[in-house]
Amino acid sequence: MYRLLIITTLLFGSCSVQKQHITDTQVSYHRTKVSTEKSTGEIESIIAPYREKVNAEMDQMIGELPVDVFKKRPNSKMGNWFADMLHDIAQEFSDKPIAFAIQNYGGLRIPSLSKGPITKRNIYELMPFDNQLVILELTGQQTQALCDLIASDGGWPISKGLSLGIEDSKAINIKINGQAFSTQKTYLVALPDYVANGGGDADFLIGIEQVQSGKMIRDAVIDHLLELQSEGIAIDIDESKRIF
Amino acid sequence: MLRRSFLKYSLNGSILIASSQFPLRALANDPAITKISILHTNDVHSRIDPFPMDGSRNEGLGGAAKRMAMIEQIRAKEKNVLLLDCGDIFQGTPYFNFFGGELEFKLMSKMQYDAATIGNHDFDAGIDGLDRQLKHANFSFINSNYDLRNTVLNGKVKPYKVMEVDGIKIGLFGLGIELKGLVPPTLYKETVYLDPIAKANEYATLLKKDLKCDYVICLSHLGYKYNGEKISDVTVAQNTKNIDLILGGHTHTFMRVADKRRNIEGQQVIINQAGWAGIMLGQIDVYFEKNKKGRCVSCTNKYVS
Repeated sequence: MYRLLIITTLLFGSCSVQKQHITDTQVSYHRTKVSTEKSTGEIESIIAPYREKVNAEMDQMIGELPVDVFKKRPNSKMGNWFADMLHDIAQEFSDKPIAFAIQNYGGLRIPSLSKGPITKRNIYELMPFDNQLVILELTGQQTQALCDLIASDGGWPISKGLSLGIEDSKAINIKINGQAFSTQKTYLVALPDYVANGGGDADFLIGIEQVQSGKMIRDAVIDHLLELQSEGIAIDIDESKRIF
Repeated sequence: MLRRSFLKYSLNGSILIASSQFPLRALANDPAITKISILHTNDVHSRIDPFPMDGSRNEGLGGAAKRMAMIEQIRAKEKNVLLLDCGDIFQGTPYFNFFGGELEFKLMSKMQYDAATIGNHDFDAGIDGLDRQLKHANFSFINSNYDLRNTVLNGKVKPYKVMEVDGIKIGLFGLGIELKGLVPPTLYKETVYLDPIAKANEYATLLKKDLKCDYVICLSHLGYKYNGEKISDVTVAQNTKNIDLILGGHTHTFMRVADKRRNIEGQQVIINQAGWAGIMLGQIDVYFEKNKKGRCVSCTNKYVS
């Protein structure tokens, strides 16, 4: 525990009207750190039942990763896996075909996950924010702008269905489902509402009508993995290079 | 044992005390002097447990049990203690996702918080979600610049609070940040954001002048300071009068030294903030002197720092 002590004397312009005068103000900061010092048992007993419930739930296994995955730019197994899940989840609640899904790079909050069992806690750590998955219908130009943003940021996780090259911080050779991208077409894109609301410098997306899944991405991903697990389907990570 | 672990990085603490005309030790023992210790937290963000021991920067820091132990220690030593929070109590760990803030409020009640203001993340389960948890809080919620008349919180969040502590009248009011752009409107619903400066002046004047408070504290979730025009604790301090102390939040600022600014009348306003996640507990000790028939015996108009 650390303590910082600062002492000041307060200034008074006019003191005659006040009943009480402030003569001295002292400011100190306490840093709370676990130590050998005994912590309050009463507080612990309030927390204990909640902690048990949280831990029981968080430690629940929801799948098994076939390989170690790392978060990297421009391509990564973690990015492919996560963006592909967003694509699948969005496709489940959309009648029309989803062209591709994206996840802003900064939205994934842990650098790696190891091969083997994964728990709900892993997904909470990966995606702690309450971001919702939304679908936007983007014009060709807006799609280009989004791909340029992804390129200028060094590459974000993108799903199957999209590939692009980066040249001078711009997106080139954009392909959607294997076909050359056209500025004349519109595309259905799944993404976190954080980005759809202009986050991550995506200002050009502000105001575009959002089809809302009504589900937090984290919860949707957990449900998706639980569904795969209950159907006995192993997690499959597509390792293909999508950004060149 | 505890004392040994104290690291004092005070600005030549002993010299400061020695050079003060009113040494704190003498103040503390003088029956004509009343000391009030104001403890405060902000942006605790559902950090019930300490940060895990995983090698990360904050490992082992924070935690409700440890905070309670520190508060109890201070209460055992000090006669007059206020405990305040500046918002964003919610969001950040599964405890919030699972229980909606119930545990956060229960623990704060146990710690005997006196009052808290509302942060933007306290709307994360919707204004209805916040309302549902109020039954677990035995402390006051204070905000002076959200018009809540058309919401479920109407009448449940007060614009100000007056507390009498050992003969000293303390006035509290609260300022919240603009929610538009930070919180989806579906969550904050009909909450109307009003100009913090105007409301600060209105309530600080009410507290200081009409209700004769000796000390006026603003609980703020505006943020410490920003580049540009955005309203912050610093702009509130500089553009108002009748505020003595602004306790802040939102910017997660770990202040090593409380900021001191001049208000529009040239009087000093202290601004303080205590980091986030319950890593830090702020403590402001204010010494009040009984009236000496209008003579400013101790008001020597000088900075010691």
